[in-house]
Amino acid sequence: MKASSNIAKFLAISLMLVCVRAGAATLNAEVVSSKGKPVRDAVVFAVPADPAVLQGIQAQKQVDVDQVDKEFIPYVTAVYRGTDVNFPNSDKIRHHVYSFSEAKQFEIPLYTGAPEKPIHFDKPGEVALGCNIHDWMKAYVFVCESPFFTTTDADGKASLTDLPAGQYQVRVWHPTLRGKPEDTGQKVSLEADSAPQIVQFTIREKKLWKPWRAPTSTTGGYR
Amino acid sequence: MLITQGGAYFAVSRVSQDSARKQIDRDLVSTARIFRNTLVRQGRDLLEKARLLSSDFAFKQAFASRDYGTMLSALQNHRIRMQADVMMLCTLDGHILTDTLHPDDNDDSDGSFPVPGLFDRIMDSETGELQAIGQIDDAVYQLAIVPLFTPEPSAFIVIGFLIDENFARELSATARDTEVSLLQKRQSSGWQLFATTLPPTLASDLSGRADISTLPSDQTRMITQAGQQYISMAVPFGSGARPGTALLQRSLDQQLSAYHALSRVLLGIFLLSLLMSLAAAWFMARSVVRPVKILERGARKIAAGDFGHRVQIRQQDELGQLADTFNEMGSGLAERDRVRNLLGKVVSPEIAEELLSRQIELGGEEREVTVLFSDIRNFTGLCEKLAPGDVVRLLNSWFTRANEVIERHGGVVDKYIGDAVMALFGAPLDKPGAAARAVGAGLDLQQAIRQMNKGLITAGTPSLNIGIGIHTSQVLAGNMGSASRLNYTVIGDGVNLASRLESLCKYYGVESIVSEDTRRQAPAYAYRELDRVCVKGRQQPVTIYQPLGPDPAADSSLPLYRQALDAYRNRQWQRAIQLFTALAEAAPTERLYQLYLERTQALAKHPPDTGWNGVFQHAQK
Ligand SMILES: [Cu+2]
Repeated sequence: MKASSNIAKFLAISLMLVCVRAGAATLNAEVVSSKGKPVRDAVVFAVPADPAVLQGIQAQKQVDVDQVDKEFIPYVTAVYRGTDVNFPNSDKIRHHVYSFSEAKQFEIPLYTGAPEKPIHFDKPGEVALGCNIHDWMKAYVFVCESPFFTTTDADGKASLTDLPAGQYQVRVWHPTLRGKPEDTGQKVSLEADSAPQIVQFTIREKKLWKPWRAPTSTTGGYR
Repeated sequence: MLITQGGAYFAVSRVSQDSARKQIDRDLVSTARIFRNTLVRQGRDLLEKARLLSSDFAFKQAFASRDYGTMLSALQNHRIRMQADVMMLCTLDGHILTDTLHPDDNDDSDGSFPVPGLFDRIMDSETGELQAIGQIDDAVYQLAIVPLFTPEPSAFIVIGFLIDENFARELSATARDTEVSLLQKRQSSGWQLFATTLPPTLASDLSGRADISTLPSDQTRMITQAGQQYISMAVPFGSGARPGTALLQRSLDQQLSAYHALSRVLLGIFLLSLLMSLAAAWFMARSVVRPVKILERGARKIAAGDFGHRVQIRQQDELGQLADTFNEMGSGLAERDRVRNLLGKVVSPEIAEELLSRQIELGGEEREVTVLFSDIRNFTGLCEKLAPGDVVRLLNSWFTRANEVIERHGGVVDKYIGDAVMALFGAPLDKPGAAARAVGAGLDLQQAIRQMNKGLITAGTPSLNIGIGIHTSQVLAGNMGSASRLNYTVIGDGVNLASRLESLCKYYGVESIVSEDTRRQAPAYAYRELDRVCVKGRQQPVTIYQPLGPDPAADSSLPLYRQALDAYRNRQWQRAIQLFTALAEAAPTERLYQLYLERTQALAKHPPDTGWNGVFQHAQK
């Protein structure tokens, strides 16, 4: 009895692998909060069960995280591991971008304009960005272990297109996520040229207090 | 006046109480406001100080490095710079990473969050920041907690000020005389006092008191602690499982001390008035009652005859004058007494009494009086033989005896005339038996002179002979003289006759002669008829007698003498001569017999005319 079920499982997996290779598929994701509200800036990504799928896929050449009016833009930037990220400064004042996150620790001391070189992100995980000058400035770079990622819009929706058919673990990440993205995984089996599959995530949030921002920025100073 | 002052005292005291109570209420409300403001200001202050560290990039770097030693020294450094009492770093799930109170416990992440219930409150908060009153190691702190942003919230920074005795003292210092006690609710032992400005005795009384919890917030209540009244107000602070209460207290007594000073003054005035009233009463008693008592005592003494008693009241008022008058009265009485005594000496006490007791008036009354005259027969000769001082002594000695004798017989000495004594019987007091008493006195005077002569003869002094004349007659008795100088005496023919009879004693050789009038009234005595005489200045012949003694049969020779005298009266000259010769021979010292012998012999030679009635004419004085 036990042996027969194992054999069935093996057969099923083998069949799915065949399917993936056959053609592209689309995955529609929807992320809501525990209170049912759409979650924006959530990173939805699909990790293929077969690592071979990733072979040959290159990271994007350049991604910018801009600094405008003493805020990072965008708030969340998802990248495939190995991506170089630029932190151009569009403000006339200096910023001091840093991260103490496990996935990437770096510091670009006070600078204006474009830094000399981009920061290379090669370890999966979240990287919280801060500015030493402006405590409230905060943004995230989420380094995905898969090149198949997207971020939700204001409706909490996002789509992954041109996914090779096959088995995937679809995961979500968001700054307010309590716990690790690995724990959010949903198994999805995509067949080529089939109708888009829909994946729904309900996020368990954590408190994410923000540093207090001075009510006015017109009074000079560095805040 | 006393009632008014007493009333004022109590009214002021009452008003003071109310006023003090209101003042304290106002002050406590004000202190409560200061207390709350202080907590709010300190809370903001702490929050700022925590944020400062939270935004310190170097600290973020240190935190990212997970180097707890560096973090601890950074916390210490910040704590000292901020003049805080505690700093901590805690994980987001509420474990202590490192804290300045326990520097050796670093990297021990199982220390739970310092304040129970606080972690949940942080997690519920919008900003991750919190102010709280918390207890760490039995000490109470005001705490501020902020997240450490790196830039995500990655830890909690805790900073705190100790709330202790210093805090209580500083609060107390902002409101003078307000005692500040800080209590915290502990699960086990209820309210526990952890800081107070109260002295230890009062503090221990406060700790564990049940009624603290029932005190309504922000309202004043009277609490009695160790016998002192405290207006108290409970001001709650902090929140959660272990709220605190600041007990603000003001001693009512102390507040009243100013009023007490005033009331002491009032009380002093009140007591002073009381004292003055008492003093006035005492002075009145002293200046009125006491002199009156003295005068009363004086009056008693005077009444008892102590005229020499004088009262001493040294006052210038009416009582003083009364005392002077009283003393003058005493002097007057004493003078009168002295006069009376002198009178009693100069005259007889009876006369003096008569004089003093009766209305003194000139003139007198007709009454029967027996007058006794006595003088010393050979006085003139005696004076030549004796020194004048001895004469006076002798005379006084005799007068004293004579006076004594006369008084013994109820007579009074009317006056002394030279060596003579004039005594009255039956005047001034009309005592019965005056004549008999006079005769008795005369006999005793003879006895007395004989007695005295015994002494004189022994002393070599010449003996004295006296003559006594006694006559009873109607005389005028009373005060005679001028208006300013009166003598009680008797005047009249009878007085002169008594004097004549006295002077006849020498002639008859007898010591005592009484008139027939006296003899008639004193029949109890034995008499010898001496003669029937006519004295100068008096027409009426009078029969005179010699008293012999109380026994009528004293002289055995009387019957013979009686016969001789009858013979003489009946002109039987020879028989009379015969009889008198016999008598004279029998008693050669009797001058009387010799005298009659001579007289009858003369009459026998020259018989008188027929009108002769046996009356002998005494022409001489
Ligand atoms: Cu900046």
